[in-house]
Amino acid sequence: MALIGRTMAATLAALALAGAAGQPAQAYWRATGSGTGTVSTAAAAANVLTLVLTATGSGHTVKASGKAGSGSPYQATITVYLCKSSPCNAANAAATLTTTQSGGNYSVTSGNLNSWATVYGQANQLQNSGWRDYATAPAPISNP
Amino acid sequence: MRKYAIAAGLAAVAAVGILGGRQLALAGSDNSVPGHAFTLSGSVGGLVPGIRTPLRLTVANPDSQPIRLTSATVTAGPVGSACPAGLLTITSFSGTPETIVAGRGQTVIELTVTLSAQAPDACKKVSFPLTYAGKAEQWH
Repeated sequence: MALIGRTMAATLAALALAGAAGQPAQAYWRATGSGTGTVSTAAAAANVLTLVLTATGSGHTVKASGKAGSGSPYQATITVYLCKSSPCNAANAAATLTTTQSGGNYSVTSGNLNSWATVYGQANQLQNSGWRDYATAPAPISNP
Repeated sequence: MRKYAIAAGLAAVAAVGILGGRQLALAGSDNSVPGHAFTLSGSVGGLVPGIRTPLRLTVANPDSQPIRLTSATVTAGPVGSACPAGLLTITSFSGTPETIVAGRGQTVIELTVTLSAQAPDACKKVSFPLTYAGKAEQWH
């Protein structure tokens, strides 16, 4: 009986030591990270695009014209958005005209805009770099 | 009777000791231990409006223990009032896919950065400064 008692006591003592000395083996730490970098945009040719809207006085049409980029940096297509309200852009366009530049100039005429109270315009031209140039007509046309 | 008292006392000590070890382990899982840090680095160029571009970040772990990356975020600074940082959209990393960085090792994660399609001319050929922040935990 005494032997059993001593054995139990020894076992419990060992357990006590193991528990007390037990290391948090599954404990883990956390770390924070930091650093810096940059994001650079591509180079591009100058934006030379302009847009002027003119009432033609014929058939309630509007002429969109201006200067455009020519040569290797630029694509030839010019897209002109016509809108009934400002700001004028692709999302707000009520009519879209396309043409190509020639010698650094372009001109394109709309269809009949008789029902429009005001005509706003935006032209854009894509560069081969991926940049798109924009030009907004400085003044809208009223009652074309 | 005395033997039983001793046994009970030792049992109590054992229980306290074992539970104490577990408590230490749990406490360790809830708190960051200062002094553990890792680095994030990487840059990208040639960004044009409206095009998603990969931003590859190198995660370097100087510690001898492996880590599991749990988050990584990027903050862009402006290059001028005419080209604000808000024109950039940059994704973040939230722990998926699981990314383990070996002790004293490094790995690469991929985010994406997009410049607004409406970016003005002032954003041509400029460089936005980026600040990276991340979190990780020791990996067993």
